[in-house]
Amino acid sequence: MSLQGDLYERRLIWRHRMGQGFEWLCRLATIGALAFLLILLGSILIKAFTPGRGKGVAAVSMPASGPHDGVGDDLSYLVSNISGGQFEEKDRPGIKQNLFTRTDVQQGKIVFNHDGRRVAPLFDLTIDSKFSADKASQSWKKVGPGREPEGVAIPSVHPPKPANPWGWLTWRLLTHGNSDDPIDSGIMPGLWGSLWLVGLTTLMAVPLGVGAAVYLEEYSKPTLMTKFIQLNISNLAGVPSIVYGILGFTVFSRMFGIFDKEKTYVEIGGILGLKTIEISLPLGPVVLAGACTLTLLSLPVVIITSQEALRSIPASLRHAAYALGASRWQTIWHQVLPAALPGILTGVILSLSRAIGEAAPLAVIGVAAQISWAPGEITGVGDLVQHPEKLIKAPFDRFTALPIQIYSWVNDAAPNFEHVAAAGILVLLITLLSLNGAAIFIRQRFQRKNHW
Amino acid sequence: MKIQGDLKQRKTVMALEKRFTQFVESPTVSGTGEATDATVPRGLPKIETRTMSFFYGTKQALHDINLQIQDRSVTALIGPSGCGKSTYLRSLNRMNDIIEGTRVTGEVLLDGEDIYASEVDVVSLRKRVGMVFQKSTPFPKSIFDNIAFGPRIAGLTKKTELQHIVERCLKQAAIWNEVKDRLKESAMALSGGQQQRLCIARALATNPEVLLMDEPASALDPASTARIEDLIFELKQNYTIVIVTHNMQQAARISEKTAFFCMGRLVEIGRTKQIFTNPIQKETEDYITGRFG
Amino acid sequence: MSESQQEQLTGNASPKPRAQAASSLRRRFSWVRAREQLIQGVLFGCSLLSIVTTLSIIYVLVSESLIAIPPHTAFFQEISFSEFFTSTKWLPQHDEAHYGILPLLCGTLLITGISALIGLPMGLLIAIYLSEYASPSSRKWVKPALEILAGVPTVVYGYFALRILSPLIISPVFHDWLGFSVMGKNALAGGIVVGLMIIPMVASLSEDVMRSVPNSLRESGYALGSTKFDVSTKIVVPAALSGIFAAFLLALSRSIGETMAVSIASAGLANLTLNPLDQIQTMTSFIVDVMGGEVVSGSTLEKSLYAVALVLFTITMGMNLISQWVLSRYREVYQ
Repeated sequence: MSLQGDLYERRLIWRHRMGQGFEWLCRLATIGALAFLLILLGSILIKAFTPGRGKGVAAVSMPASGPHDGVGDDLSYLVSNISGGQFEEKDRPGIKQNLFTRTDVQQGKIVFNHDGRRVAPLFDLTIDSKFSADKASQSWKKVGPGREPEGVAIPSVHPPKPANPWGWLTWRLLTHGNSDDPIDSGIMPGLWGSLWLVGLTTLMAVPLGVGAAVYLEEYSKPTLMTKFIQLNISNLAGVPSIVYGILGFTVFSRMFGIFDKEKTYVEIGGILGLKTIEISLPLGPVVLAGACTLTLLSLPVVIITSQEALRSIPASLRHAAYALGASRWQTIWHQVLPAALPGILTGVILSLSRAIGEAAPLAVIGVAAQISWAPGEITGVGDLVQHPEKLIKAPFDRFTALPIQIYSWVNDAAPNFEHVAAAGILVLLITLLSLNGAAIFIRQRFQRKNHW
Repeated sequence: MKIQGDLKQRKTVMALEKRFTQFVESPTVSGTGEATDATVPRGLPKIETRTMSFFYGTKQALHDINLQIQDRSVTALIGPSGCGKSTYLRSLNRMNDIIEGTRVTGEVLLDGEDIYASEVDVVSLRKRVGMVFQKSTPFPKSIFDNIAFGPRIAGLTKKTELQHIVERCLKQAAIWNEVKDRLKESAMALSGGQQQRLCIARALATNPEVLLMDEPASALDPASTARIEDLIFELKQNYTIVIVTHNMQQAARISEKTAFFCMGRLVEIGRTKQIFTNPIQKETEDYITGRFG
Repeated sequence: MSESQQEQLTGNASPKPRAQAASSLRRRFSWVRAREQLIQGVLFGCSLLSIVTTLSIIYVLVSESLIAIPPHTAFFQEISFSEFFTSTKWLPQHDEAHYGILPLLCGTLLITGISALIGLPMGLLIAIYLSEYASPSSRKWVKPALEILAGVPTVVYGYFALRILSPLIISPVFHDWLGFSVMGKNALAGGIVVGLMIIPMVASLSEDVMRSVPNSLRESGYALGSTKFDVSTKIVVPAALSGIFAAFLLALSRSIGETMAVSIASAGLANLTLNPLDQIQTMTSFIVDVMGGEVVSGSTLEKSLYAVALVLFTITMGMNLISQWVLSRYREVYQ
């Protein structure tokens, strides 16, 4: 006896195949997304650890005699068909220069920028003499180090040496400020700036966010007002970060333009027995303005995740505390919040690490990459001991942040900056990872304390 | 099925019906049905389990169940909660396959074929052995789409054929008159009892041979329960029905045979009348008279 | 509960003599209650901050673009609505300035469209995989990996698009193979990375709604002779459709608002084009590009930022509101 009709049976085989195909499609999409993550991280690692293009400096070898050694004569060089790199003006890196003079070379204005491939630079050369008697111009094909035509003064190039052969994630990167030269560029101000941002944002966003979540979960009744607040919070979570940037620019950085007319100063610090510090108004793109902007940006997510954490606490815990005669706030402070802390922390860390990676709002409030000092010029404990007033100065100092620094490097077309940018990205990712790691550690410690 | 109109229309309809029967083939209706009768003589059990055991991981939920279920009859499974009757029911169409880590030993035979054999396609098995659940589960679609779901996934796309199936099934499930004017409306808008009858109609649409019912009336009010019971009584003309119930009166009213499960074992099976009036086992008597569970 | 906490809980109630406590159940002033009131007020203030934020966003945007306090003029008092919404040129920094938002809208549309083509189907397929097919052990791997993907800062996506995707994939394929002219910064690269960026969001939101489809529906489907494919695509997805729609809307609103990746990978001239291999300018990248330089305070250019931001805010807020509404309707069905 056949279990099924023939047509149904044949169709069933097809249905099964289609089902398997679809399952594979789903699986493929998942694998694709994960593969992209690996490619993304992998390519950044590769870029960060690729030796950079080396800089070979052009110099002129000067034979005693030759067709173009007239005294007072300035030879002009025209190079073409260059392999292995390019001639550039030292002050304008990245822009090809194919016509220059012997004086330029002698004064070190012209450099040869090697592309890092292990080939000797070669180029075709035409030399023109303007003032010499014969005025002849002469050409050679494929000259380069070791292949100079005899008796001719040509720009010779030092053997190429790749810059940063061990990659760009160097100690120098971590301890220096921004520079025009990729090899000298560092991310120290950005790193400190971002750490200050995290600290101040946490100080503001956590109490405000958790407070709002506690009110919404523990106090509020489902009135129209509460519903409206709730809806508003969900919507704020979806507002583009750049809109927060505009808000921060207007309110915190420019302060509605009310201080624009004359420079206004506010003095603080005298009370604490520290040196008095002058703060100019409007604040401008200072750490505090950035932190306030990021606070507003991360608040909705902090509130929503904290609410979820509070909701997961069983009502029996609250009832038990009420039964012991505890007031509402005592119940929340001593029972509910400690129990919900791991969940709250997870949400806070998640939203804050989102905020640290944000470049857009900071760029809009005017944070620039050219800042070369850490906020308040604090780069170690020693600074704090000697000048404690810097701690108050720092939030009102102009600053730069990791994503801003990276953004400026990414957009820099000069060679090697892509490697610096990749190294900067690694610093940013490592910072994010260590913050997340710290959160997981704290969470597990708190979780061990709570048993029910 | 009542078909109105002239002869020509009647003929088309019959042709369509026949095509569908061949398509989602059913042994109980014409054509291949004869072959069924030839290979499986009447009187042989429709479903038979031989020394069947069931495991959730390492925990054994059913122990050596030997049970025969007759064709076109109602068999009730009763017993205290957690006795394994639902597990048994769900293993008759391999519904338990969905749960990870379950395992069956022994044999479950449908018309003499082991449904747990490796070459059996569980999808076509479930088409033959339909199931109705305790909680009514209408899909969030229209009433029409709910009923047409089974035939559609089986490959039937002709609108007219689907319309006939929907009408036939809704009539069989005794809900046609209540919903015939709102077939396009969402099934979620029906009342609980109507939803459950809709689910029965939906199960009938794939032309199953066996209908498994897992406490189909336990969530319904007495009036709706009565309608479902009437429906089951009607359906047993054409279908083999196995029903799990907590309601002993219900078992007594609708079933021909009753099986009493306890602690994962089949304690006793017999004619319903005999089980309820003169049980052989002491446990059965205790349970029925309410001294147990 | 620790002992110290217990002491503190009972400590507040015990100082009063028992007799007095019994006779005075009536409400009257006490410092404890005053403190409770104060705390509740402060917490209420915290939750009001969200409203204040929304109102200040609206105030800031509207006061610079629509209606200004008299000595100042707002953007739309200098540029007419009709020029803003119908002119096809966006040249705010030009000597002969043009303020027509269409090129920006077009660029935004292009980026959003490309990202939707990649992000929505992939996200949905991943959601179906996670909710219907994946074993618990592979879920345990995939979900954190997606969270990492979601946590990668957007400048990193931009870097990837500009330095890897564009020169190593898009340019060889479209220029060297197919012979199109490809800009170094092109909409395609930005659209692709924004699409990849929204995958985690689409996947996790859609998975949530699909998992909230009751299992009994799946079982009923199986009992009718469905394959897993039938159950996934003809029962679960349709049942979760409104939730999935909401997830899509949220994701699209995210790609409309995405700034840095687009600014790095695609942004240049504000071309009115739908050619994905061309440079474009989106609303967001315009804002960040202009703010990166020096803007004269009070200039029309500066006000145009607010006008563009207002359009951006209105569009995304609208999409968010619709999706919130759909989601709340959806939750009502299954709870």
